[in-house]
Amino acid sequence: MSDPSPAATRDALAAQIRAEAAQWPAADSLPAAAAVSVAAPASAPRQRYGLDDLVHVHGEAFVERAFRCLLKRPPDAAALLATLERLQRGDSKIAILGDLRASAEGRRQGVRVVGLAPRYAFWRATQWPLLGGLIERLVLIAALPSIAREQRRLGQLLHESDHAAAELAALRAELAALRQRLGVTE
Amino acid sequence: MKVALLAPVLSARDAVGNDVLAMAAALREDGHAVRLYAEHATGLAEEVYAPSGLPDWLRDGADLVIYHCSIGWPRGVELLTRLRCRRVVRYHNITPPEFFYGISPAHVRACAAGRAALPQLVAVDAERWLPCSDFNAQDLLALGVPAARLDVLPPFHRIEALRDTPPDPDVLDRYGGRACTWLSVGRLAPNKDHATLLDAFALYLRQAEADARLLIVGKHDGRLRRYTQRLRARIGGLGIGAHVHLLDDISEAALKACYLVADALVIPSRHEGFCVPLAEAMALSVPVVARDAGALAETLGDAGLVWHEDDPRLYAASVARLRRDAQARAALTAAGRARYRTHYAPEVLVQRLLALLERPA
Repeated sequence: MSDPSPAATRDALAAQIRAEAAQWPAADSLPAAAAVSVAAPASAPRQRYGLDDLVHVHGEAFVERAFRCLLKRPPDAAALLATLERLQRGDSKIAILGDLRASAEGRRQGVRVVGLAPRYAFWRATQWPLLGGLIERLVLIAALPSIAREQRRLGQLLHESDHAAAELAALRAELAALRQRLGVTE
Repeated sequence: MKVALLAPVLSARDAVGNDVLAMAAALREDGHAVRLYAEHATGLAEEVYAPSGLPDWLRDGADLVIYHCSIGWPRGVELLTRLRCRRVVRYHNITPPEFFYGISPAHVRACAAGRAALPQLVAVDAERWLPCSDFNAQDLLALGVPAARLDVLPPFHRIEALRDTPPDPDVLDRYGGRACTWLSVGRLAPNKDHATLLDAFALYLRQAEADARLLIVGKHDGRLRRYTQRLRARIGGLGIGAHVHLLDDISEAALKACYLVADALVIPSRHEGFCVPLAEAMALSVPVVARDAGALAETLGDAGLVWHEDDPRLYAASVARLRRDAQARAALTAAGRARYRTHYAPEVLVQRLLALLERPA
């Protein structure tokens, strides 16, 4: 009889190792093994969110979170780019979340986002020709005081951020001068 | 024939760079005039030309450009569209952006842009596509590339040079000896799934040999700092810091020494377009334990153990078996050497490349 093929040898070995591995303690017995997640987070298992869970992150992080929460999967490349483009064009996060939730896939998942439906309905109303623009303007006028408050808050944050950046630059310069004086190279 | 090898970035010490350089050498040896074109190049001894000059050099319809695609590069695609010569695309694969979520927005965006631009590349209507693996070929088929224009060609590499390189004696001294040595080779990136590797190794330390060590060889990318930090935190959490050695950007001599001291190469990666370290291990008689993901099982063939499950116990038990079962180890390493000779040896790749380029489209 001829020798078994390399594939047969490998498969027989793999079967034996599989049986041996079953005798080993499971990985969840390791200390703190699950404590530090190295990979990207899995899609969130929850079926109910508030808007605050979703709208306070930006850019790629917002797109990823929206997809993982509403569709239970990460965005594919094309969807990611298309959604980032919408954000860059100034599209609202409510519109993006609403579109995802209203898509066939979103309906299948059936995730509830408290407060999304009325705001999405309003956004859709603002898209009506002529009348939509008027509705949007009226609501914006009504919201002017809070918009102004938000603008002042952002101005303050921007100032603090500039100040911190200047302090950091000064510290870096000081450190570089110190290194030079001590003859230390990086 | 004039042949231009075109890529957005060329580096002397990565898989794409090695493929380009060895391909260029093979084509020159065959009597062709070859030039390298790239936007950026690092560490290359030979001249690299600016892509803007490519249309002036390749004027004849019989000239050839081979475009190496591994990231998105709209300018390169636009350039290919304008060229009137023969066009071939070498597809190295683009890592799906999902792996980089929560780790690097720059990588997410670059990988997403690269993947989203593939349909434009397909529209260039190249006469031939050379994916590095059947796994890569499936990407292209899904995008509508006709099967008749697809020919799998494994990547060219520097394994012969690695074989000829004397091993770094310091590394041999430091990591040689009787202790079991796990080796993992590949840049520190989230698609490599170092978490499974670390868990498997921690189990091995606890159940099999308490003095084992794990060498993780691979470039540390500053933009993936968050991933590296999480890895270090996990190493700390598992309490295996004294046994795990992260070796960043090491020399060829040091890499050779790592292979020589290794009991097994363990690669639980979740996405690979080919995985050159597997071929290195085969050539250097190191048994391989890998995940059945991406092109890994295909690259390995019958020359190693592959697991499609995530269970770290399978990786740990595999190394334990290979440590104590000399016959199993010998069978796998013999199969590895044979596979390297028949599938990945330079003369095999050169012959195949030349035959493919001579065959009419």
